[in-house]
Amino acid sequence: MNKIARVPKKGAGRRLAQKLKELGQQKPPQTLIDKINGDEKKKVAAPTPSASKDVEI
Amino acid sequence: MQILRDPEFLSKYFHSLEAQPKCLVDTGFLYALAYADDRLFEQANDLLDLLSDHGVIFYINVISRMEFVDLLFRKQVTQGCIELFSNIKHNTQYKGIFNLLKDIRDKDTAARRKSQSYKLDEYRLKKLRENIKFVHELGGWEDFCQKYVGSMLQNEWMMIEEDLGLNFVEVMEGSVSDEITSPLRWKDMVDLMGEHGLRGPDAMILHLFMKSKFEVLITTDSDFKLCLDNQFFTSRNKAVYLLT
Repeated sequence: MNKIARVPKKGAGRRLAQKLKELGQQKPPQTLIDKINGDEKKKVAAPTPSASKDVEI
Repeated sequence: MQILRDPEFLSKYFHSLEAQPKCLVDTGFLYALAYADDRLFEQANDLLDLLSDHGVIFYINVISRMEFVDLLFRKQVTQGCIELFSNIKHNTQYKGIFNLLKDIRDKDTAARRKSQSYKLDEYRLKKLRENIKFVHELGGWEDFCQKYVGSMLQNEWMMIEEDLGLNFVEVMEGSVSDEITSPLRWKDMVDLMGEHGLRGPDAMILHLFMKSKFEVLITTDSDFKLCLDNQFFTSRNKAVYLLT
């Protein structure tokens, strides 16, 4: 059985180019960035509650 | 053999054909469709739209099919490298990867100034993989590639080939098909390499073109013009459309 041959869809190349451009502009994986920057061991500390400035009456 | 460069002449050529036009295209044309930093981007996309308007069926061989996706892989990884470089500290302890990424970024910048589209070569690709694995042992390389090209290849590539209208010539040694009217023979291809000083992929395309009923070969490679100026090819009822 003969395959049905494809015909290009108009604008297909530009659509592909846009998709590839958007993919290429993504931020890299954060874990990799952190490893290279030596940030992977820093952990976000639980915020220390600040001393109350309320005045006791 | 005609060498065409003007889309209007190509359009007239298609009109003059009795049956639905069929072409062979090369990897350079496909890549130029996909990246705006390729100097032939606008020309290639305008040509693709012309092919669409005329209902032209175009084919690629298995080598071009592989080369195209390989070029996309290399280019997307290049883009990822540039993004990664812009996100890392210049005083990182990992000087190897820093220097490599800077080198890639600089090469990309230099290529853009010359209206060229830079893609990572095999050497730098290997070095990049080694350096990322050194920094991020588990899954770093895979995650990096997944982001910039892997997910697209896994989830969308078949649809992209369909959207572009890619058809594939898949004929065994010595066989013929609806499109291949004379048997393709490995020896004949190798003879072309020797006689005309062509590299393998170019000789395969030329051999396929001459053995087929494709009316037009669309290429970005001016070496084909030099070969087709040869008297051997002038008697054939075919044309080469050269994007320059």
